[in-house]
Amino acid sequence: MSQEILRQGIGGRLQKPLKAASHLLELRSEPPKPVTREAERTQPGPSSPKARLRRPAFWSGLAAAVIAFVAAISIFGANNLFVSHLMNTQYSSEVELKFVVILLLFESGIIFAFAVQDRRRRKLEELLRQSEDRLEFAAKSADLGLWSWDAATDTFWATEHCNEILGIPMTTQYSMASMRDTVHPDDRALVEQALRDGVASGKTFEVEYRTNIGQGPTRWVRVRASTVLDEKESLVRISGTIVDTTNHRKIQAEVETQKQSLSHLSRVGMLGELSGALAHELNQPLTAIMSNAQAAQRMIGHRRVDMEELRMAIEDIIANNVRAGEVIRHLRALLKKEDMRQARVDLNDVARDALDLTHSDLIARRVSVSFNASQTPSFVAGDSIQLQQLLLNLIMNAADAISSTAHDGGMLILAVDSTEDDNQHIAVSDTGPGIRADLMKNLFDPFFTTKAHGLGLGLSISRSIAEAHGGTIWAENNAGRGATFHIVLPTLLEAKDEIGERT
Amino acid sequence: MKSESVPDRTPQVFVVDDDHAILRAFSRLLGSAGFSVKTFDSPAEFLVQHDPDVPGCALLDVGMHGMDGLELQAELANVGARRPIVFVTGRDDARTSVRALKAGAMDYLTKPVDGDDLIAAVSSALARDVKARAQRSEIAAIRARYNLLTPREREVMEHVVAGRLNKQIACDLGTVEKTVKVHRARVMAKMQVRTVAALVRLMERLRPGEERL
Repeated sequence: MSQEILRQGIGGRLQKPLKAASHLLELRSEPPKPVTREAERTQPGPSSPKARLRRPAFWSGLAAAVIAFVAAISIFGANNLFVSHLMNTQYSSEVELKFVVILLLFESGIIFAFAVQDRRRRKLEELLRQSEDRLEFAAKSADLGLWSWDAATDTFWATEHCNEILGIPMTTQYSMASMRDTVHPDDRALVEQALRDGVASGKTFEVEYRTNIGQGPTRWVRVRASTVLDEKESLVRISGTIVDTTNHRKIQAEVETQKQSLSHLSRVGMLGELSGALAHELNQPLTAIMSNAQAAQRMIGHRRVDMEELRMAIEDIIANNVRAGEVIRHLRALLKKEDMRQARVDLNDVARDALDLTHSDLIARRVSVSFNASQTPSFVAGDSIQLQQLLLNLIMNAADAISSTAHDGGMLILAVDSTEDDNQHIAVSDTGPGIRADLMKNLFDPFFTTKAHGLGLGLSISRSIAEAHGGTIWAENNAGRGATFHIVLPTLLEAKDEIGERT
Repeated sequence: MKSESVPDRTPQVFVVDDDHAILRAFSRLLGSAGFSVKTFDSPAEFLVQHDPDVPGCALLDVGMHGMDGLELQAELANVGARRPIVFVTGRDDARTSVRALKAGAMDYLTKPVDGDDLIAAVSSALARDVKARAQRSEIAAIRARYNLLTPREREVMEHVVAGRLNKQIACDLGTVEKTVKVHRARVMAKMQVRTVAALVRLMERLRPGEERL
């Protein structure tokens, strides 16, 4: 669509909105003159007669022409008079000649004044136009569309870029109702609510929604707007900016996917490290099942079968089967690659599960464990697998720290409690060598590691998991030996049992 | 099964594992094979209740909280309990198994262990204990008889066992053949043997037997 046509299309609507736009952005202190830009720009080309009437240059030109016409006639008239006098009566009048010269001087003075004024006006108009151009250029460069809605006329004014973002033609006049149709049906309620709240509060408000225009692709836009009320507190207009956030969202989604993949990879890597421990966790129930089954087999071979003992053996087989199944389920959950799920999670359960998985690894490393569960369940909203990954990371780090110095093992304390401001808190303490002061600030950076075979992703992923749950993670050295890692997560209130999934 | 050989005390299988499921399963399996089983869920508890005079063997888990199986083995050796030990481990770790076997373990089984293998290992450990106990009591009896001998009689006996004749012994010890004959008769009576060959066998058992088991 050519600029020319676009400009003509909005020509009639341009005056007021320009005022609104400059008012909104507060780039100028004085309001601009009611000048139409398009009239200036389209000077060489055809312009509408209506617009021409409104041009001050036109009026000044016309005035000059009329005066010139009168002057010409008077000069002509004077000359005729002068000639007739010379020829017929030999009569000459200096008075008349003087009058004509004065008249001519006066005329040219007026014409000159008009010309100067017109020049000055043109210069001012040019400055104004440049300023407005710069404003729109700046807005467009910032990928910002500007718009305003007039309450009295129920009409929208919008910059070209705004219409481009929304994908609506410049020629169409939009009202609030037709603008509503450009919002994705699923987001209409959201936008309306934001609009209502914004008008009610009188504050600047912001809403991000999907557009719904024809067959075109759905785009995400973020609208920021403020309302203007008159003295009687009734709505005069709403004006604001619009930004296309589709790409931003796409990139965000990509980053999120990458994060998930990385977190999954690190989880798989961690399971590799834990494979010995996991084999042991499976071995225990399998051993119990085998021995119980073979005991039962032998009992049946006896002359007198002890039915009670046999029943207990079978019960134990079932119980151990369940136990083995639980290990497999755990393993599968950790290996699975899936998006973050939101559910009600008790941090005590997460801690217990993580300790179960690392149980035999910790024994092998001579790390004794003390677990202080909270008195009441510590509910948070989140993904239990990711939270477990977070704890497994910290537990294994603690075990690494302990076995890095002491061969006779050490102590790992895991505590779940709540903070004074009612957030949930997990602390993982070890009796290792502690954290060197100069490494403290880089601890959670990606690819930062002090281990010979570490990738340096564990703590960085731990932090992103904590942050994805609206929490924080930090480390400090203990007063005595070792270090403590703290995680604080927002408490899930009982009332908010059901958590909606929003992607 | 083997209870007839030691009539006063039934041999016991002492099972030590910190996993109760394993403890119950092993106890049930060994029970079904006719063994008398005692279970302990911690090495410390086992050590406290341990009576070296009760015949039997120990079935120990390698990886346990607090004290592991190998440490328990060392602790038993420290207090002089020469009980045969069968290890069961959840991790197939060659170094640990070598250490355990070098320290005198009877067997080193890997979980999940086949019931027949477990029963066979426990049976042979029990048999070893019974045999060792019998040997030890026999050697103790020989030693008791030996302790009855006077220094002179022991001197004479050394020469007899070395295969020397009375005349030669008398010459060596600077005495007469008759005296040697009297000493020799007393040695034979006190050691409760009739022939020199039997005496030689007894003395042979006494010497290396002190070191073994």
